[in-house]
Amino acid sequence: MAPSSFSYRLGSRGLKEAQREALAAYIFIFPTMLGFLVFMIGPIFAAFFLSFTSYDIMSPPIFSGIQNYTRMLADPRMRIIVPNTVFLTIFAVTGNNVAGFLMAVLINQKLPAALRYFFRTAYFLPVLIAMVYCSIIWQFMFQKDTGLINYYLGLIGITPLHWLGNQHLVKPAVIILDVWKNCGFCMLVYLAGLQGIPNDYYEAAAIDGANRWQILRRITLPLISPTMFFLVVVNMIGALQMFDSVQVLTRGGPGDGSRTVVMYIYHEAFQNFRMGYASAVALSLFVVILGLTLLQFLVGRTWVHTD
Amino acid sequence: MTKNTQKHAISRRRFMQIGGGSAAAILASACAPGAGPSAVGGLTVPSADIKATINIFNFGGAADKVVYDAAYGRFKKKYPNVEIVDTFVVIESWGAFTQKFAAAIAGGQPIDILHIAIEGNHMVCSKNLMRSIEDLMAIPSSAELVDDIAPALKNSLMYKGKSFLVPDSWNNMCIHYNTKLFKEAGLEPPKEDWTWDDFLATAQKLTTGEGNEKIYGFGIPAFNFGLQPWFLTATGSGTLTDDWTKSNLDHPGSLEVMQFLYDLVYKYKVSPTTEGTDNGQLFAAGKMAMTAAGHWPIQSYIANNFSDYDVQNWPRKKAATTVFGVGGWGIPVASKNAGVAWEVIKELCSLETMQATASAGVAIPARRSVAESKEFISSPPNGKIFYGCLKDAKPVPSPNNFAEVEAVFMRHWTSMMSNSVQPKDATSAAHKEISDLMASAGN
Repeated sequence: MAPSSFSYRLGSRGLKEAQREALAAYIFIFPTMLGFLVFMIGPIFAAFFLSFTSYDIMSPPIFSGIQNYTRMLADPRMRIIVPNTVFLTIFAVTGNNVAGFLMAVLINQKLPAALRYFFRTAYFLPVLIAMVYCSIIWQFMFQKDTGLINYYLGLIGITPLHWLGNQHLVKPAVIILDVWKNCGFCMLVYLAGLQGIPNDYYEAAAIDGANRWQILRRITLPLISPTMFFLVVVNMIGALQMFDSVQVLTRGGPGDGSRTVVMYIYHEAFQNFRMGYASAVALSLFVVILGLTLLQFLVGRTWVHTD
Repeated sequence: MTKNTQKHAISRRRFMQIGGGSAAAILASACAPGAGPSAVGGLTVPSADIKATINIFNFGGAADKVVYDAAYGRFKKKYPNVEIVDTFVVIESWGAFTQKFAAAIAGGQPIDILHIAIEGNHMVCSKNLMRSIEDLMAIPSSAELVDDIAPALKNSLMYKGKSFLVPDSWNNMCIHYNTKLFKEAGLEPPKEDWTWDDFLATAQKLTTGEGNEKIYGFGIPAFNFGLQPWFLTATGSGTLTDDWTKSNLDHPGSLEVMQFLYDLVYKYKVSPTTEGTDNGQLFAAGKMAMTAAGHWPIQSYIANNFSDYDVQNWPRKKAATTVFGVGGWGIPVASKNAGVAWEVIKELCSLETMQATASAGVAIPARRSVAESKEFISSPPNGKIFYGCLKDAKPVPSPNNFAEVEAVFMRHWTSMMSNSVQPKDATSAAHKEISDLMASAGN
């Protein structure tokens, strides 16, 4: 293959082949790295700096030491918002994975191809719709007097539930929406994982007389554990940053009943113009997510089969 | 007095000199387009051939955009070399709008004209972002506009005794009721001096059915602006004291309001729970006999061929009053084209523009001559109460930390209405939190 004019020019400066390839690679990834630096690393450093200031966007920042962090630790609203976020994360991650796995197992059965494609598309479709639209639709469905869910519950004699206005029901409502929206993604990834398990293992297990439960426990789950690990980590990071669904569905209410940490950060930064405090909370959340992810990698060694 | 307003302060004698001269100058410039610039009110009346770009930070809905675009078109005929760049924000909440404006300021976006409502007025003025328009409103050519606007509207937009915005449109809260459901229940329409007791008795008579067949007597307007009239009628002030510096939620009447509204849902069962309930939808569908709103839903009633409704004053208790909110146009201090900006504002507040605002039907035009015109008050039948309420109405409490105070109040409100907290606890918790905020806000 004839050398490109680009590599030819590099070659003319006496660089070795490996160096030329490395340089070309760096040049190709430069735009992405530039974006990453400007839009990810830059804001992280800016947030770190701002977290030690009092800043209202319209006036210059004033250094305030660790005041924002001490305030965060004493903030009574954090005692409601953090448990909310933990609750939503635990149940959303569990719900998405369980529902996704079950759907993947069902679709992986011996079904006619057309039916398999249909179910796969149907389950995955919500993933393609923007969360804001989904939230608006579910807001109508959750309405107490005119909502579709209460209508069907009424047909089986259940009195209308106040999904979005009851402290005890609002978080389950958010989880229902989140699982409906996101379990299709889990299903697709699990399905790919299941289809990657060699059929020989199942045939050997059947010959050895293993029942369905034994096959699931001894073959399917261990071999799909890397997929499961990936999905748990990704879902956890996403759930800890839950924002748009709750913002549209409940705006964090009633009271702080469904408010998440990211919503609180947004609220403090852009409604109350306390950028310093919002940055402190945001950085703290970043550290928590980083810590939990590292912990998962550590714990993952005990249950994820990578061989 | 801000640094900016000092810069533009002039003595009375000088004002008279300028004012007298300006009248002639305006007349001359009006008669002779393209004539040279002349000094008016501390500014220069731009000549018709001036070249400039006017950046507007604006809000509204789709119908408003049509009105503004038409106004810009008329302005372009007078000043063909002036380019208007309208950053139009489709409004979702005042908090969101203020946030976008603050971000624009922080980002160094040039703004020559700001359209903002009372809720954000003190915030921008307290940051010294706005130019006083006292001098501009005082010049003779502005008299026709200024005299056509009710003093209550102008006064509500003052900050520390000075005007910073020209009112252009406003809204108030009144009771909307379904005339057909009243007739079916054998009830007379509510009287203009009806009381809370009359209101409750009416709501109870109008509440019928169960489950999906239920018709509610009243839908509580569960937003800060919509809740203020209850506090105003019970205590004489809103959720804040009249000077907007302290919480008014420790007033015994405030607890009475919270308990009353809570009871409408949980004791009398005449109202649906507020979260997740769309009052407008239920009212237009005949599933709710009364609700509360301003003038804004009327256009949608017309669009949906819903005509079985009328409006009435807010029921009175200690006081007969309601709340109003007003929007207006102002000029930021950073504008380098204040003279041209003022001319644009005059077009945006012209009779033609306000007539178009009236036709759009969302807000009430600030000009009395338009808002009291036969065309505007002919629908609904009792439409005269919209402008008529101004003599008793009070502006929505809008301190410089409005968005934060509103969020705190609504958070405790939703806690109470979800039956998680009792009215007494919600009221005292909201009072404490708002008091702390007001103490540190420097209003």
